[in-house]
Amino acid sequence: MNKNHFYFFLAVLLSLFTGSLLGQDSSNHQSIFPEGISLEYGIGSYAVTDEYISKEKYSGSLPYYSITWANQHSDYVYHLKIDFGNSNEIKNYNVSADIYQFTLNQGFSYALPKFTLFSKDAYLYLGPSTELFFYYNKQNIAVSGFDYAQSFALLISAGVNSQLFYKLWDDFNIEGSLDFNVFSLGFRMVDYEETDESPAKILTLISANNIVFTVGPRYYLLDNLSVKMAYLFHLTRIDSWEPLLSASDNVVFTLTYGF
Amino acid sequence: MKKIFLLPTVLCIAFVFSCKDLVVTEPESNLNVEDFEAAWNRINDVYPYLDFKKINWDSIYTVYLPRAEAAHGDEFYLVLRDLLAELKDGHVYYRTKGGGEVYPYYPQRHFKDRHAYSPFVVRKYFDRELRLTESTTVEYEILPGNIGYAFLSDFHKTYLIDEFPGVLEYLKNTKGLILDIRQKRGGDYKNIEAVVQRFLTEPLERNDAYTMGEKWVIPPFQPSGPFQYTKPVVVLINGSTFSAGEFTTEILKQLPHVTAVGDTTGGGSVGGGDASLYFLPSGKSIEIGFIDIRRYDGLPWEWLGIPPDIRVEQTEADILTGRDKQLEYAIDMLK
Repeated sequence: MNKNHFYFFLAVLLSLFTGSLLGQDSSNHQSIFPEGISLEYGIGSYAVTDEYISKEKYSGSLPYYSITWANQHSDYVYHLKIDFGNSNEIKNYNVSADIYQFTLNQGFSYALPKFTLFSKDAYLYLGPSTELFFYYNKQNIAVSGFDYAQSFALLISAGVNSQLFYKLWDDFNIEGSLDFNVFSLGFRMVDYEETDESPAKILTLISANNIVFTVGPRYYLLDNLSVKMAYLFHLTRIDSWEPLLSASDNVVFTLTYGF
Repeated sequence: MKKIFLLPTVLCIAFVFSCKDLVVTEPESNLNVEDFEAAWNRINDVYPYLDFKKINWDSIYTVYLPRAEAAHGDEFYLVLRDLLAELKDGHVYYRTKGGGEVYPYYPQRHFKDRHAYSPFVVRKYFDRELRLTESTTVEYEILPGNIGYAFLSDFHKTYLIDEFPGVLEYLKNTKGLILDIRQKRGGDYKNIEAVVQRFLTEPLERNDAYTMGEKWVIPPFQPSGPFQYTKPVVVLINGSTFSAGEFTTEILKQLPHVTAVGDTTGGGSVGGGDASLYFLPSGKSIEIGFIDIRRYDGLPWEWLGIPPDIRVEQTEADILTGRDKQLEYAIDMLK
């Protein structure tokens, strides 16, 4: 079985089960929102300063994998996205770190009134979302029999998601999105030998941000099959404990199969 | 068609432009040389064994300063590790917040003996499951033949102050006692006292200790507790016995009813407790002891270790055959 067959059967299986599993209504009309299942691969450059371990900047290439499922309902689009990134080549000069990032995001997007931009139709969607974001950093600066340098952060967030679709031609769109958290329940590794600070806190926009911005063109190969290449910028900032600041620039390739 | 290529080109430019670098920036200052100077000076000022170990610390400065100057960012940790390793001291470590304590050096006798002991093999000599104290610091029970056994795994916090009295109460009617300290564990002086004072029948002078060359003046150890254990005691030691475990052994060896059996301990006698942790200008920290603690013969046990009264060598191969020759020797002594 080649990859295309695999993805096809995966899409068929998901289309059979996801609706009933998640208790969603079936789709009832076509929209510009790319429904169906999307597989993404991204490659980009990543930088992080995790002051729990070091004030130094670590950077390198962090591959990105994602799967998204989106389903149109009567007055909203439901979407569920899982993404994962891992690299053991995030470096500060001659010292490296292993970085793992995982996100589980679900959201509801409501269509706002269509508007015209440079004589072309533009569609804006806006809605609430919830997200679980996990970050783990295993730094290769401390090798000993029992100890090693590690740090983690976890955000369970409520936020906002928005998408913009700009229809250039029938089979070609420019798409953009902006997702960000508004408030979160945050968890962070703390050093109990130096502080009695709680590892769990309620965080607001002031103390924690997790922002994903994308922009790029989508081309429809078929009515239900499209490809997209986008620029993705991901920013994570947590200031309530030892500061964590990470950002990445990515080029993301997406294959979407609608059903 | 040109328009199709225009946007990807713009995207590529954005990618190359690297927004991430506008957000995540290099630290404003690099304190690697200042950290090196502080670490070198701290060791030069307080570490008690530079002469004993015949380390030319000035020459270390000339070797490591260029490395510190050349180190970029966290590469300095590699310089710091090598610098501290020059002391060949099992107590010395550097610390990152996420990394805990990183020891650049372990005593060679620890490597020799680290697999020459197994609690699973020890348990085979009992006809019942061993008891554990609440903190799981002490494992103890009575061996066939009414011989008491207690494995002391940790001298930290107040574990032994709190729990050793209960252990000894359980074992007080045995005809002999084995104290097993064959693990690399450090700890606090007050826990050492809590153990050794239960075996004294009269005051015992303390071994010498010096802080920055000044000798400690402390009253002798005194017997304490509801009863004193005066029947024969064997202390089991090996190359993994370290620091507080060695301290306990050295004191107990002075008592006529105590015999140390096994192999020479790891050899770490520098002290200082929490005050040994020293913060460098960047916030990194290093552990450098400043108290020179001596054996009763006047020598430090740093590097030298505490030799047993009766040497019984044991290897990993013995353990793999299911035998603990050191424990067997102790049992035979106390039968």
